[in-house]
Amino acid sequence: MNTVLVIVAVIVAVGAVLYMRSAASSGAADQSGTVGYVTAAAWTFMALGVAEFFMPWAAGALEKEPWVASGQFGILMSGNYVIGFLVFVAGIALARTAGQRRRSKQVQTDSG
Amino acid sequence: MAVTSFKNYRVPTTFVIALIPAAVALNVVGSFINTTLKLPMFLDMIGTAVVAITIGPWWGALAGAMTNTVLGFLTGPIMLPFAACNVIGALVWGYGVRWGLGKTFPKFFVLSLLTALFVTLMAVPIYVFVFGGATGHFADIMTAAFVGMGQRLIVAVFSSNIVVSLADKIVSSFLALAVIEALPPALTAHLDIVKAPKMQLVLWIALGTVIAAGLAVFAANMAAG
Repeated sequence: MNTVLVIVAVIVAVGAVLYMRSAASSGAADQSGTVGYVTAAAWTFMALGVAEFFMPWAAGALEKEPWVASGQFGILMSGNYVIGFLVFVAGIALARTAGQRRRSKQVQTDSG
Repeated sequence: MAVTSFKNYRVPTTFVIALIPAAVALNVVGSFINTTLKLPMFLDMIGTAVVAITIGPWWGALAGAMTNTVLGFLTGPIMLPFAACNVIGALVWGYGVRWGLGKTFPKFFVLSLLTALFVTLMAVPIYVFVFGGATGHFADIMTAAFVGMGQRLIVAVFSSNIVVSLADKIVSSFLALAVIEALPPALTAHLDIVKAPKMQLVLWIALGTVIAAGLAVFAANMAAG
């Protein structure tokens, strides 16, 4: 791995922690907007989608490795299966959230 | 301490923007240390654990997916399908802490074992079906040894991966706990997670590291023998 990139990564990590500490102590974090875990799930979907974009390239590159037993088609299909499984799990989580929100809104309406 | 339900907990955008890249960077650095020292671990989920525990499982999943996509370009495409393992690890850590498995050190230790188990269950099909059983990692030597003993490939991959994964997740969990201690209190105040005096924390981190090192030595002996 490129050592320069790792040094950059260390600087990013340390800088981010220092920034968070400064934002917390100055009160800037309290004034910023907030996001919930549904947004997180949505961003995760997008990150998995980006990973999916690169699966054909990955399958082509992996097939050339001498210790990889599978062929390009097998690697691609298996990669799709893995990412598809995660999207399915995330979909279930979001569906459950939607159901809970509907129920809590219903309860609020009934009690109001 | 009043604990906010993670479904109602909303994290300031400032923290998300800072913490996710920091976690990805931490994972990349961990992976680099592991590759350089040729350790029988992975160390690419410490940042994922930090994010999953502090701001939620799905943010951890995002950090995990981003990590493996980045590492796929830096170290080679082997890492790309293993994004699934990083995501599963984040979900187990995140939901585990929110279901009370972070309240005491023994429970947190059990959570790290559970994470190792779930990550291995996700990793084994990837090893077997995507790569045909080998990825060039240290664990391959153990897999070959188990196959040589007459085990089926899937059993051999599971056996070798669970040993490496246990060592890795114990170290990652306790290192993440140490990192969480260093984060601003505003970010961790909502968490119902172990708060220990510094020395006790160091003790538990050392214990976790020793157990993980023991497992690593066991793995090395298995591979050599």
